[in-house]
Amino acid sequence: MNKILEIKNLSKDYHTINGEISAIEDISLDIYKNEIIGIVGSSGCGKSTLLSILSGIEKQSSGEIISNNNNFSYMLQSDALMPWLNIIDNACLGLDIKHLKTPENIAYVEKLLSNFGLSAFLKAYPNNLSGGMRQRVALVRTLATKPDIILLDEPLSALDYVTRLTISDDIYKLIKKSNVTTILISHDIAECISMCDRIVVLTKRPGKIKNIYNINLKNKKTPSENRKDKLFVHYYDLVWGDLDKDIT
Amino acid sequence: MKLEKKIILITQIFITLSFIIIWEILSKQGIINSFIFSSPAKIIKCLYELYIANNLWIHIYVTLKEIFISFALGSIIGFSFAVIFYSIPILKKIFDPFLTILNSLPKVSLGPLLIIWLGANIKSIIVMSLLINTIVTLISIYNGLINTDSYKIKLFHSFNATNYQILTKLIIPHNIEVIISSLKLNISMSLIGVIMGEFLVSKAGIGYLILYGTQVFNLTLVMTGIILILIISFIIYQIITFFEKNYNT
Ligand SMILES: Nc1ncnc2c1ncn2[C@@H]1O[C@H](COP(=O)(O)OP(=O)(O)OP(=O)(O)O)[C@@H](O)[C@H]1O
Ligand SMILES: [Mg+2]
Repeated sequence: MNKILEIKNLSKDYHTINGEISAIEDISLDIYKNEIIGIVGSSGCGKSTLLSILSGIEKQSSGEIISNNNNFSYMLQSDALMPWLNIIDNACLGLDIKHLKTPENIAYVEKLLSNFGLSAFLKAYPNNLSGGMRQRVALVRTLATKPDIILLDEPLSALDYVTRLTISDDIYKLIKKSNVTTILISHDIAECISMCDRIVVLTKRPGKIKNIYNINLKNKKTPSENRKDKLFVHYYDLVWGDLDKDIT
Repeated sequence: MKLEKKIILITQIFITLSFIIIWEILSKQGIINSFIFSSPAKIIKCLYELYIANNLWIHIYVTLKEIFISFALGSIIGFSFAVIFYSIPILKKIFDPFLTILNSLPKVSLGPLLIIWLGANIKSIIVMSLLINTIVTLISIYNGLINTDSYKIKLFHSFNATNYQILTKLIIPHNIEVIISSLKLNISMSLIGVIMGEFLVSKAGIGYLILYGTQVFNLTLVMTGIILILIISFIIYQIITFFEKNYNT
């Protein structure tokens, strides 16, 4: 398998008025091309911090990230759609900032939106969209710049259960079609197992790697099909057993 | 128009008219001293005389010009400093106490100094008005800016946006309502500042009319000046509301 990204001994301390907070500690991880890798861990263990460092928003305190000029695209924990931009302009925001808003790229975005059944809403504004639609637009915005690696921070957590199931299928198909490597944070273990090729379990803060599981379901299909696999419950129990459950 | 709106408007007009009529009757009947309290008829006559003497428009023009200049400068300076303080937080921390002190200082007390430093001319009036409107504009816009959604800022950073892009594509559109409402505040501050400035130094303008009226004990002239200010601020308010509505649709 092709390594696309190497994370070596990554640590991050935040300096706050109450002193130093160590958010993640000594994380080493190889990411392979086109895989979907899930990250689970208790709340506040440093998952978002890890993605922020990979995307370049935050700087690590120590350790290094070895990548060969990969383009990252980050889908944040909130959809962060701009209420003053219509759907197509929201989806093209990254292209616009990077001065890549060419007719071809706009056509590509329109195609992605229509994949998601949003063709009729190109000129609509985010306030008129349901939570599920907004999340789809945010995902299209993430994919619009044709990144090599996408970082998804709880892309579905704001949605109701039924919407989550259908959108996770949609997202999954789109990811597989776009040949993009995906790092997915989710606090929903079942969702993670149904979508990912591997799952990294982090300890509670400061997050360290506790375990990495390869998810070898019989024949991988869509996430909702995967949930019916015999081994699904087996993986669920493994990951569940690893998670720190003490409420802090 | 909805019924409620109609009732409100009609009542407002009714109150205004009754006030004017009662005022007129009281002074006509000698119940109040029309030398001290003037009367609507006298004020209209005074306006007419100013108009005949070719003075009315000059005074209105001078005051409006001063309001406009200080409004424009105050908005630009206030906005720029709000952006600078937002971009460089340490500057804000350094200047915070100075701003607070300056903001609570009654600006009129600086009047005599302004006259000596800048001369008895329009510069003193504009600076007096700027002292009043700039800090208020700065503070209200700054408070809007620091409330910009941090996720959206992160998103822009994740696309490697430049600071200029963050300003023009995120901060300004995100805060457009705050900016408009601070401009609204600014224009009434400018009006206050300009009249105050004209009290200090002026050879024309509505503030001058009022001051002159006081000196020669022509209280009708004073009242006329006040009425003119009311009319100007009413018109400015209508213009802003018009722009605000057009922006929202
Ligand atoms: N900018 C910051 N400054 C200071 N501390 C921070 C900052 N960002 C995060 N932290 C702290 O670092 C720790 C890890 O935060 P992070 O957001 O990465 O957790 P998370 O795993 O994503 O949590 P959640 O599941 O709730 O989203 C938390 O204790 C948080 O309070
Ligand atoms: Mg998080």
